[in-house]
Amino acid sequence: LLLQMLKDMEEKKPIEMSETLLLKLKKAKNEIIGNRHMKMHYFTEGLLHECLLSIQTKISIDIQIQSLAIINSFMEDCKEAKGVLIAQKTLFFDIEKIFKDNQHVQRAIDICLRIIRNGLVKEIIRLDDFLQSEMLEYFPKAMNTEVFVLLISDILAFCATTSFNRRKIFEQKEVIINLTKYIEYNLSYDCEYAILNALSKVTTEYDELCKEIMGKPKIFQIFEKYIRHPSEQARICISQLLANVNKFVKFPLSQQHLLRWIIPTLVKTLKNTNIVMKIQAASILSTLLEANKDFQKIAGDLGAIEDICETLKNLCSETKEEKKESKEEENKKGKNNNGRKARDEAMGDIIDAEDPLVFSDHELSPEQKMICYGLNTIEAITSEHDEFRRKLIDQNNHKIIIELLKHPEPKIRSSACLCMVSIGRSDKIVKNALFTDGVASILNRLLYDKYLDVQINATSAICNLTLDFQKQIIDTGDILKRLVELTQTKHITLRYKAVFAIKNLVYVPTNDIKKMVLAKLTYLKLFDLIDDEEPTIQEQAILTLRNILHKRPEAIQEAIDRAGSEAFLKKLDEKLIGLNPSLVTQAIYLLCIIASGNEKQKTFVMDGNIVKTVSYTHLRAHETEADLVCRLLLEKKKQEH
Amino acid sequence: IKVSKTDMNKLILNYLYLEGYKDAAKHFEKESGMACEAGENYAVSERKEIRELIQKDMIDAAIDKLNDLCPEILEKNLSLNFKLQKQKLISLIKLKKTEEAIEFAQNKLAPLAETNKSFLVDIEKVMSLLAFDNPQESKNSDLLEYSLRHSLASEVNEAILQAFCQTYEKKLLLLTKMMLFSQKKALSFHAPQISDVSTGKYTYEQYMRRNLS
Repeated sequence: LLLQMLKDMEEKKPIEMSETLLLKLKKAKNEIIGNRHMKMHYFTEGLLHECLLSIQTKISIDIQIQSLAIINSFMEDCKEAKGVLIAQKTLFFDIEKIFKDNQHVQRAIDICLRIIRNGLVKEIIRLDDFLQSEMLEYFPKAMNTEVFVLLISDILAFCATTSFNRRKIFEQKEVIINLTKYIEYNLSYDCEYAILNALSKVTTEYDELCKEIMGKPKIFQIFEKYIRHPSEQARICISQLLANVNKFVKFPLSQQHLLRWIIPTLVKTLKNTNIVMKIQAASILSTLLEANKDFQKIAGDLGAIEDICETLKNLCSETKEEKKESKEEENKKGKNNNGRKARDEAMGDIIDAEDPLVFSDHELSPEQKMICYGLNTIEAITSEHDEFRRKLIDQNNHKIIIELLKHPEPKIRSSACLCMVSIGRSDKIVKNALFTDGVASILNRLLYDKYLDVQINATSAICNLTLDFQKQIIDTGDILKRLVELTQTKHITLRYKAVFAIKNLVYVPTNDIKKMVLAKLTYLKLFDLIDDEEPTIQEQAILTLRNILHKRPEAIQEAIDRAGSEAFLKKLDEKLIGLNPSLVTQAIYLLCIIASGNEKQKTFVMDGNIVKTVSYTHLRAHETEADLVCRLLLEKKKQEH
Repeated sequence: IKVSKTDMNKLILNYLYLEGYKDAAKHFEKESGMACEAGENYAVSERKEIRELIQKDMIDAAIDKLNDLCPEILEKNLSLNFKLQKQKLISLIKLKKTEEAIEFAQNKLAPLAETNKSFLVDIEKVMSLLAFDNPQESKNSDLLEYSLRHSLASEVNEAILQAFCQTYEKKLLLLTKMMLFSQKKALSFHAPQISDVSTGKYTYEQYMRRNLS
């Protein structure tokens, strides 16, 4: 009937069959809705193809609506139809056209929104096609009934999964602003929840939007309603929104209990068997606990670390079993299994220090996401609480984190390194346990990782671990050699971390260690680092020199001789008259170290120009430390002369 | 506690609109001088039509209207879909269209039971009506009663309101449920009990017994 109709349209003949076609489509629609058996029957008869054809042609809107309803029905519970729909590349664009051309027809808008939502969720409609289209521009006008607001909210919540997508959505601010307006209306639970869900996904990065939300008078009532909601999913949704808003807007004192309230919900969800909910909870916790000591304490006391470590252990043992099975299969197929290659693959290939890769936007599996967020949460909890670091060690939960340093996925290795940075802030007992379990050699390996972020975070971990354990670090593999290499890298952050680590290596160790470090680093490289383009690196380099020279007059002399007296003084002079207060302070401390040496070195410091510079620095110093140091130097000068 | 007439009228109007009794609600509005609250009269004409069609046993027409209004209601609510189809089977049996009924049960109804085994039990109950020349004599004759269609119509009505994000819980029913719950709790205090909800008749029996003792 449809084909005949189309032919008649082309030949400009009067269409008499549209009424009949409409009735037949309705009958078919009523038979297939909710009935898989009839769907298969009609699918075999070619109904889906007919409907896909009809939405492409300028036929009556009634027929198109019925066709869309049939297509929507085929999306549900019919795998065979899904393949056909995915293959229809123009599906979304046909729907878009019908939507745009029939803005005044409520039924058309209704079915188009439903089909777009279902199509996106079932991956029949491509997310990119939707985001690059003009649909979002038309949404504000369509938001005139609760059910349309609900459908649009669902679509936005589904789309806002990555930063890029959120940016695209945020370009059409009107849609989002409308959603924030509707929060204040007396809506049904389903609609209100859908709006909150959409906002919780979209507000991850936009302070403007968070401020807009916090400006609504009824918002705290809504927060109160949902944080105690019987549905766990609703509680997670509101927790996400609260955590996002909290990043940008300070909650009034009277409402801060809301944030504390959600922590037990999230920690409880970590015990849930549903991994999607676990991921959400871990992700929200890692955001919420960042730089908030109180929340970290609450989460730690509630046993969040133990629950996360339990999950990590389960996930790792599942992965091991899968790997074992696939290895056995490979062996059966008789493939070569080079042990070294497998180890390299497991830990990231070794490559040239100059060219580590940046993380791509590749999507992690749910298990990998859970591991990453779990590690981030542990990192947050242990960042400022020594009790939780010790607890981690006492319960042997540090072993799983060390294990994850060797994970094949680089983002997980990076998160595990950050965890080590946090745990490594602890005392000797904790660090000793880490060293006993071989963390140093693994971190040594990670200094050569394929990915830049992993190298940076591994270097940061070594920075913290190295204090009080300099000998262990130097004795492990070629950490020192690698750190020195990294001081020459073109990547500023990595260079900074490497110099920082070396500075810590020479902080109050034995003279032997200082000599070993200097043998690898050399004064030449160190002086070059003092002149680095990056001021923070200059500062660390000066600190390193200061640590090396501390209470070692022979080393001071060697440094002066290597640089040449004039060149050395000139270097210090430049730092003293510079505008960077940190560098001025460190330069003065270095001068103090030199002045504490032998007579020759005292005289070297008391050279006229340097004293003038120090006086000048004293007069204009803003830093209390610099001021104090300058005064001390001048006092010394007065006493001696 | 005296309940104001305005509140009572609101409760009644709420019930009439949410149940889909559009004409009754309109008359009541006129007589009481009240207006319905936002959302109560959502799609009330369509809901009224669908209710009437179900109550008249015109299930195909009801399904047609329902799918026009919102095709996802029956797609997502398999239980409601099954009940409507079951009602259609019952109407075929009542009209003594035996062969059509059997074909319908085999081709349209039985496949629905693949998703839910409990549907099979219901199908069997309905099919048992075919064993009798006069289905009224069957022990499952309650399936033929009007009350079943009435409750099915209410269920469909609620599903429509829910699908369009409207309140579907009638305040009057909610209050009645709350009252019965409170009454049950008050039994331990031997408080007077409402023995007939439809008339509001009290019994003081237990209360008197307690006071006398």
